[in-house]
Amino acid sequence: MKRILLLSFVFLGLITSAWAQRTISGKVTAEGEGLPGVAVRIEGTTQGTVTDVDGNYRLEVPGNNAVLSFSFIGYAEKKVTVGNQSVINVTLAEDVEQLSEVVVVAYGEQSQRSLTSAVGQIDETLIRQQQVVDIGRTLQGTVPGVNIVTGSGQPGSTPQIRIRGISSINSSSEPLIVLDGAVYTGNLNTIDQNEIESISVLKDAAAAALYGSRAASGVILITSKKGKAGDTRINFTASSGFSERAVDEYPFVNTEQNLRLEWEALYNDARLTGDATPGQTASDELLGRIGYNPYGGLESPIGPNGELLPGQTLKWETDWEDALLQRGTRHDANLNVSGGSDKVTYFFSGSYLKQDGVVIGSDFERFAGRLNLDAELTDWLSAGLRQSISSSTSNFPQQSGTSFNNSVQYIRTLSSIYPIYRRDVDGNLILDPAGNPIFDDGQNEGPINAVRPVLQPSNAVAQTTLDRSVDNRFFNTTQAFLEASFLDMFKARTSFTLNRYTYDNPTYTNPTVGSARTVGGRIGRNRDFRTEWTLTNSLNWANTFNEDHKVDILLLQEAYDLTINTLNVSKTGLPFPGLYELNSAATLEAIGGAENKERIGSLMARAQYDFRNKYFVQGSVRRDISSRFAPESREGIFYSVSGSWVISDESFMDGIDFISFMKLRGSYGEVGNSFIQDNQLNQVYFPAENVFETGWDQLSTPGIYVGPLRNTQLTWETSAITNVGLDFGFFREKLTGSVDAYTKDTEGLIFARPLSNSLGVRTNSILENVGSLRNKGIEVALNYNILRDGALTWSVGANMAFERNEITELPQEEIITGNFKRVEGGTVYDFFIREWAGVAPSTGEPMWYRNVLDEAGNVVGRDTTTSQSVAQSDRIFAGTALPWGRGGFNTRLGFKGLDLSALFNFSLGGKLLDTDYLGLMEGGLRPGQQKHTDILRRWQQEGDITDVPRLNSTDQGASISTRFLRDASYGRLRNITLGYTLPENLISRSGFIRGLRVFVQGDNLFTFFPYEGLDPEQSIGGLLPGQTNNRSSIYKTVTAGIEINL
Amino acid sequence: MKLKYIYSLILCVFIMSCEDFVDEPQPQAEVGSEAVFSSPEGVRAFLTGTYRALRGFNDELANTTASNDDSEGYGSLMNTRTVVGNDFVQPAFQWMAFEYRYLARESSNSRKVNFVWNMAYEIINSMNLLIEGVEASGLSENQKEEFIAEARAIRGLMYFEAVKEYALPYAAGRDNVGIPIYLESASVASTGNPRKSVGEVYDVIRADLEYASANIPVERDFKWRINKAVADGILARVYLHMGLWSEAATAANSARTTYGAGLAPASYADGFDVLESPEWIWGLPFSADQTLYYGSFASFWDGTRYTPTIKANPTFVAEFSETDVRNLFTPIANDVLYDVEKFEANPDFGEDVVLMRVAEMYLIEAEGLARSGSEDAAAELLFELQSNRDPMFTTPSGNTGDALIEEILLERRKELYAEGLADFPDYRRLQMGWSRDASHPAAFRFALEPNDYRFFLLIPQAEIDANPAINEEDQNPNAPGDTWPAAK
Repeated sequence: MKRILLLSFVFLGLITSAWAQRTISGKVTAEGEGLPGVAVRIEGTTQGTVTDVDGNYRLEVPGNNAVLSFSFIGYAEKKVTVGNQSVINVTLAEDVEQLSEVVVVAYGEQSQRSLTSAVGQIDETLIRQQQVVDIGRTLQGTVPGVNIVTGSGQPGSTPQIRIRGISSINSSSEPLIVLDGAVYTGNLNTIDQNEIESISVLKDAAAAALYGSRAASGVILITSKKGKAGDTRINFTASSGFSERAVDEYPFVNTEQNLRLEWEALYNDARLTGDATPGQTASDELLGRIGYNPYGGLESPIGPNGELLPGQTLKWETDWEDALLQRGTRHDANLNVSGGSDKVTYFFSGSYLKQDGVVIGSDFERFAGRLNLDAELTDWLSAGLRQSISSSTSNFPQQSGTSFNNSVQYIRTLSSIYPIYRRDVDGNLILDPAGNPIFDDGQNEGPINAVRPVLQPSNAVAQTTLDRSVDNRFFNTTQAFLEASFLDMFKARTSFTLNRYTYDNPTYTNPTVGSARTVGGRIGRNRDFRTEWTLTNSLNWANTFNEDHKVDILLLQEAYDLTINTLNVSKTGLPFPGLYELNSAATLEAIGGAENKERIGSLMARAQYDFRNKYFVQGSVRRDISSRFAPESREGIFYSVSGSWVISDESFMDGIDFISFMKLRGSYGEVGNSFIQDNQLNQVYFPAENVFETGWDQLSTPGIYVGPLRNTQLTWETSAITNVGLDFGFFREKLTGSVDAYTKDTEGLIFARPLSNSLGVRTNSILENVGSLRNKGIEVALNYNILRDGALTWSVGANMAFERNEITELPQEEIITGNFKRVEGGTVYDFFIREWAGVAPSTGEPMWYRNVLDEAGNVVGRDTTTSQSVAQSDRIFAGTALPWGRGGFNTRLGFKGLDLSALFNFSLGGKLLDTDYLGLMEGGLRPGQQKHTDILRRWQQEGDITDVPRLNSTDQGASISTRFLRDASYGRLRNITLGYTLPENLISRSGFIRGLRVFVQGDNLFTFFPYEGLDPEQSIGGLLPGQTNNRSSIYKTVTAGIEINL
Repeated sequence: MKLKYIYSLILCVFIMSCEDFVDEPQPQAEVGSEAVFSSPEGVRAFLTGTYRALRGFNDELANTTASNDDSEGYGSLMNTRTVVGNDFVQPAFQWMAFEYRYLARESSNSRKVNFVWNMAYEIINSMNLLIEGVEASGLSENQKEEFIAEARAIRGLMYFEAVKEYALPYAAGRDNVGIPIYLESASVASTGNPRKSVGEVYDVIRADLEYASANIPVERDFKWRINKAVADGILARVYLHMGLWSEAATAANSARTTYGAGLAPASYADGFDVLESPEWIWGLPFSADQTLYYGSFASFWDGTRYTPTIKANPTFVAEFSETDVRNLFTPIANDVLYDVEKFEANPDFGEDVVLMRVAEMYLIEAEGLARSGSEDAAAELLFELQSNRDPMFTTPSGNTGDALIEEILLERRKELYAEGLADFPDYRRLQMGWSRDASHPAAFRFALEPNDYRFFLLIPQAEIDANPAINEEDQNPNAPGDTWPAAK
């Protein structure tokens, strides 16, 4: 009976409420125009709607007591009690308080208005607009002062990131990556761009000093998405496309041209040694020199006059580029679901990405998932979880460096003279018993077409298709936090983050062609476990006195632990090809393992003070103790002070109407850099200890050997950064922007001070805190909403950074390493190479400039070298590898449902040494080598005026000199996107679809750079800064996709 | 409400002592120097590691992670000295092509110029460190002597290898410019030393090796260690180079008699790949898991791994009779050149490398005797070797004077070919002029004057750039007419 009664009440209640339900409609306007996209919500419920294009809305409300809230970014929220109205029109006022969105900063968030430091942030829109594999690339051209260089076409290859110049020489210049508040040292390509809400770049000390000893190269804060209270929102995006290299290959000579050039080199050799019949000698020696005859037979196809003999037909002409590079596809799909109640919000994301690379066989495939939960447990306690997993598999054939397996080097080294498959004396294919062609590795028996003088033994087509090198990455990050509020002004928070990054690299080298042929194939496995955890405990006190004074104090304690465990094994001897696991191989060839550990203990305090929301002051201090250094030099104190002043709020600004907002910022602070590297750029975890290395065994007799010489006093380098900035908004925020000027002085520079090689110290250098470096620059960012209120909207953005790098102190007068010379007043990467003086018209010899000395040894002039030996010449400063300016443009156009956006980035100044081109211009030095078409301009006879020297076997015209130095200024259309959002009235009929958008986009479609074949993005650090290294070019991608919101 | 305070308490507990927390991480695969010099085993392990470094030396400054087959380990020095002479031809552009074409020496940045220099000085510094460590240790005097003797033998050898490449031969004059000398290990405060005279460098070499010869044990646990026989053998080479003829003969004799085993002609055709070979006084061991892969010495000779491109000159091959056990040459089809079968490469890259043989000691002894007035004894010793190698060689040549010397030098080329000891190194040591014959491609038919600048390597540019005591004007000559700098 009771139950029935209860049911009746429920029923009654339902009817009553149905009866009370009624519809409210109205229009939301701002500045007289309808405002689209305004969230209209019924307070205390999850019900709500969004205004349409004209600002109209329609909503069912439960009763007269319902309160509607109208909110839109940049405007003050407005609340209206329904009462008995049925039409509620609302006018929203711009909210200067809420100017722009909040900015993620170290250990928290701040409103743009209260920011006292230099922070650049890109939001979800800009991130998702770009088709990237590595999210680091989304910063290119979008945040001023951030330099991104991706020197590889391998999808997922990590770009070099430099914030405000090169701040170190032998310590890493890579910024610190912080993911959801915890330091992340794994590979950025494990993070899915769809999960990311924003990326903040902390550029000055006030922003970065909170990360103390690791922040000198700047900090990148990556924040994942959170759910918002309200309806469950489901978003599905999928896109597919094609990609190919963004920059075409260098132009090469064809087979006939190449053979005639080879003949000419021999002709010149013979002529120069006084041979009476050099033409005949050259013809006689030609096949012996190049080893192959693409015209078939044992007779030289080139006659004594240097011309192709009549009746010769090509048996093959290999296009190695076509054989080794591919046009790839890209597919990605993402599903995310977010929403929540007042107490619990959630964000879930799952995605798949597959991208082919430029080199055959190269690809990247990733599955990623994330669940973020935030819960208010009680009125004073809340908790949260950030959980992400990603797993990626990437086939990564070599595509840079000097390895025989590097496909790019192959294309630029092996000419069309050499066949992919074995050829007999007559130039016909040799088939195996099954009738298939046999890969030619250039080491065979026979009078011709047997031994190749180039890259022997190898066949990149065979090795790229038969061999395997797979990068398997698994990344898991879990963060749990608990936050308690008490006594109204205190917040205590504890957060624990555990990152586990597993890198697994199985390799397989086939037993038939290439380096593992004699050992019957090789199987290897490298495995790295990288485990890092961060425990952060903080106590925050915030209070407001007399309405005008806001104080916020944060005390924080942090413990960081990184353990890197590596294991590598290789075995040889496979019973037959195509077995990929270690069990299949017979003989253990190598096995090794190591562990490195780093720990940092920190205490930090930050205080913020705000007077009338107009004057802001902030100070911070952090103490780090790092296990990298000896106990007496492991403690570091890093601090910052900063302030800002909202000038536009001052009464004297009242009359100036066009200025809607203006704020002056200033900061000073010190940050450290403890990421010390060896000369192979591996992190050195104990750089201050003199040790003997184990493992130097002689067969089974254990041996040890002296390690590199260490300075036990070594400690972090410190950068003092001064920053002054101005943020402004004109014409009611139609034009917004900021200007920043900074100087960054790095002292106690960690420098591998070169030691005389004859001292016999390993690596011929010692890491010391010597020298100083200054980076200074100006950064400008502008955003102009040309049209923002009508049906047609259009905005443009531009940013630009000017930088100057200067060595201010060195331990010795000059330090020359490789192609660079460092002196006080110069930059870190000043080329110091020989100066090309062209070709002697009488002899065709290459010439360089050399100094003319007087009796006392002083330089009194310059003349040109007289022999073909480059060593006679003197080196000069030939410019810096660092650009002086870079930036980007972006624009966004909207009309009804159509949107069009574009992103362009550019770099100005800086030199690039094109050693790949050098290799293609070696002329007669290396027989059978690939040649650039520029070589057709070579000197041939007395009186020829040209810039390409004669061909012969000994001249060194293709030595490193200014001849191969390029101006690296370039521009690139990073992205262009055209999208169409279906009109609401069309999709609302379906009932459940909230929005549907289709889009096409192109990434890296155009590169503006005058040198054919050369990709301007090469390297700004690493082992070979400022020069090429047979790297594959990044790819351009065209994709089409669909986005559905439910 | 109480919960809030409990929470605050938890926060406090979490705050641990930073110092303890940070002290814990320590290097895992490394040991400190106290541990090394506190026991004979530690010092022995350091010496073992030094031999390992010597056999696999790979220039860490090559600025690339890839190894370079032409510059790996002490063994590659032999091939470097082989391809620059007349007896071998490298027509193809393969590893060692830069050496064959004399391009490697023409650039002060070349890999080879750096490789030889860096290898010698790194090992020298390690031995200085070892000597200092042993001297300061609590080991017994006897033990100290033995360890220091071995270390000084290695150090003397390295000075000897370097000075030959970067300076005029001793016979050209003691006062000529040599190379820097270091007898103390490098420290944080060290700066580079200047180029000392050739005479001073040889004084160091002699002192080191004579000390080693007097103090090093005869016995050894492994054939790759230097013992008395090896130290005497090195000393014999040094004396021969210095023109101390009778001393050379005595030391060579001591080396082979101390070693014990005599000539074993059958072993000559065994492939030169096993350390246990009876004729080997000294060598370096390799195995499949401790190898230089394609950079291995024998990779350049045997086609097991890749087609070798260093070929024998037919005019050299013509010096061998059909019955000579050392005639290990096969003509190449459609070519005038010969393949060399002396060295065998194992498919697994594990072949050992020879560094010193009994026959070389015969030849040093013979040359020393011939040049110091004992021509009969010299001729007798030479014949012993000749008849051992060729059963049909039954009559001594009867040569005397210059003809006998020439016969010994030819025998050195025939016996020691491709071991980096005869041909070019002999012309250099004896200040002879010579030229490549018509078997070489036209562009590489070099003709060298006595003490021609092309006999020597340039000082590495990196040394000039980093060493305040060595400047551009201290560079070796690099063109006809350039002069040698002065010693400091």
